Amino acid sequence: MIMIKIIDAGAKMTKVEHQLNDKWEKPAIKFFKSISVRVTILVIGILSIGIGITITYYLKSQNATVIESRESAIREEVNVLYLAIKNNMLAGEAPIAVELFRELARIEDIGDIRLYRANGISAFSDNSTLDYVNSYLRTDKFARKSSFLPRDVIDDENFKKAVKNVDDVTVQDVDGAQKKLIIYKTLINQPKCSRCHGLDHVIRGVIRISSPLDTMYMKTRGNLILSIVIYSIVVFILSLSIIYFINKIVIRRIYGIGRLVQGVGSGDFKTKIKVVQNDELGMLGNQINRMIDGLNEHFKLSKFVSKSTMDHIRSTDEIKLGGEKRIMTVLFTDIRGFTSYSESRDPDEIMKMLNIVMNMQAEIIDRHGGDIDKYVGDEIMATFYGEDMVLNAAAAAVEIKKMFKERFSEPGNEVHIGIGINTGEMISGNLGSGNRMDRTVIGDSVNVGSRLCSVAGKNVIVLSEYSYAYIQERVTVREHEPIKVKGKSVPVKIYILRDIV
Amino acid sequence: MKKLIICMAVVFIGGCSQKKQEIFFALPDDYKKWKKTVDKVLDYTVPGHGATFRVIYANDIAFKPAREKDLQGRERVVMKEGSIIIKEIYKRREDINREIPLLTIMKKESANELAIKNWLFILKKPGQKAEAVTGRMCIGCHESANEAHPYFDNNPGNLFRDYLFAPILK
Repeated sequence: MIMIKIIDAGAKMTKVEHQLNDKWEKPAIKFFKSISVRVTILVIGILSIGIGITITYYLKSQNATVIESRESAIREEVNVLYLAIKNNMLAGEAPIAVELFRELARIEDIGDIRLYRANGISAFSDNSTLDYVNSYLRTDKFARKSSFLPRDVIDDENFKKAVKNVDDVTVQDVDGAQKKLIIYKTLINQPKCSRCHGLDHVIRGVIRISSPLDTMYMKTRGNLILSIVIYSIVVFILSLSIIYFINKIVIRRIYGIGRLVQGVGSGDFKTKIKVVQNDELGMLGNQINRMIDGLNEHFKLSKFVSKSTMDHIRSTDEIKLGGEKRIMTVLFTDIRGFTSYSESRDPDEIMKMLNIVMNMQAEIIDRHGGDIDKYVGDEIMATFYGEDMVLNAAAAAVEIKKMFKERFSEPGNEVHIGIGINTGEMISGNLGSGNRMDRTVIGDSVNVGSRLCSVAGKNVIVLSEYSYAYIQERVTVREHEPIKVKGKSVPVKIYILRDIV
Repeated sequence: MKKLIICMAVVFIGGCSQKKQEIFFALPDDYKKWKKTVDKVLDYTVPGHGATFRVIYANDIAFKPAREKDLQGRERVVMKEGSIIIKEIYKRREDINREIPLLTIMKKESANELAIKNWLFILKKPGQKAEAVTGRMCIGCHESANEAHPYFDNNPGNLFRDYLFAPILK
């Protein structure tokens, strides 16, 4: 049996499946769009047409064989009767033939048997044939009879056709309530008959035998109904079986894969497909497992790279070394008083606090559209780009400062932050080697930003004159004495950012 | 005379109304050079042919029938495939070999779907295409050739003669 099971390393499959079932809702698929419905319709269609045609053909041919066989049997009866009449008449024993017809009339199963002269009047119903024969016989004439069969005159087209064409006619009268096979057998005026019956006619008479076919038709109809019932049951059972196995082999597994993929979309990279059988869906399961592994790796790696790096990867087909000049804003933060804070605490507590601080800063920067370029110890370097980049960076800085004041101003647990913001032309690009590179920003403007951070006091935000020029209408500042910065021939004017207007 | 006219009328009507189907049959040009099954002209009236004058030719194959035994061990005469018997039918004796006669032909061709009892019964009217007679018009009479009958040697032993009245196998 081909199976795909969803497993989780270290957890029982059933548990995971239940968890997934709880979360996962089957998508609403229109009834006729469902694979199981389509396949079922297809299967029922094929079975109905294929087996239907076969059974119909079989039944038709079987019924035709039954009818033919009955027809053949009746023909044999007619031929025997023909021989009996001929031989009785040759011996001049017409009364024996008459008695034969009387006896036959008493047998119900054999049907209706009659003999007519070529003119349509029933034979042995009067002395006219005998008189005609006697006219040919010069001596030893037959005595006239007084006992006759009932007189009957036939006037149907088939009788006339048999006489006209000098041929036997078979009619299947099956349209009415009483179905019957009627055979008109021509009695030929053979050479040895002509001695008595004369030479001027070809046909002496016609035997008409009408045999009921009702029983046979009932039997064939019964066969037909029974076959249709059996056929319907077989199609029903086959259809159910096919639906069951399609559901088990295909649909459930597809739903399983769907649940798994949805879980992956929600960040669950632990659950896997257990491929038990290497069929097509098993191969798909293997591919999906490899894809999940790849996604997991990428997901983990994405935590180690900046947002701009991810954007760059997504938007670039070929990643290569190099960069471009852009006007950007760079924000540096650095924790103040961290050394004294860590002196009296164990490493776990220090790391915990540091992670909280970094996490909160990252969240604020991210919320204001910034991108953390890198962490250097307890220092964060973030970049802002776009029309409101300076205002966004300033807003992030104000919020970080406020957060530090609120959370870390308790005496004995004091931790402060220093923030520097600069705006200017920077080189944004890929730096490193062909196999290992960083996406970052470099340049004097970056260095100035770092320098501003280093000069910023506790919970102080320092803006360069270049950044201030962008947002002077929107912020309140206090001007500070210019500072000397490496790489700049003249001191840079700086401003202490107080708040956003 | 009256009877003769009636007989001819019956034959004519019978010939016209019997079941026929067009068939390809190339009448051999030299059939008159074939041997006759009986030397004399048949001039007595028979049902089906009426009061006519008949000359019967047969090809060489027809004169080499096989003698076989049936399942009951009874001897029988079986004509070979390709046997052809051509019966010329004239209305008047003086027309023989002068007028184009009506031809009734028997050809042994078992595989032909129009064959009855392995024989094709063909009617060829002067100037018209050959037609296969598929009803009982011909076979109905010729089947009595396989039992005692009033013609030729009368077949007193009821020998199966493959539907031929004339005793080809002497």
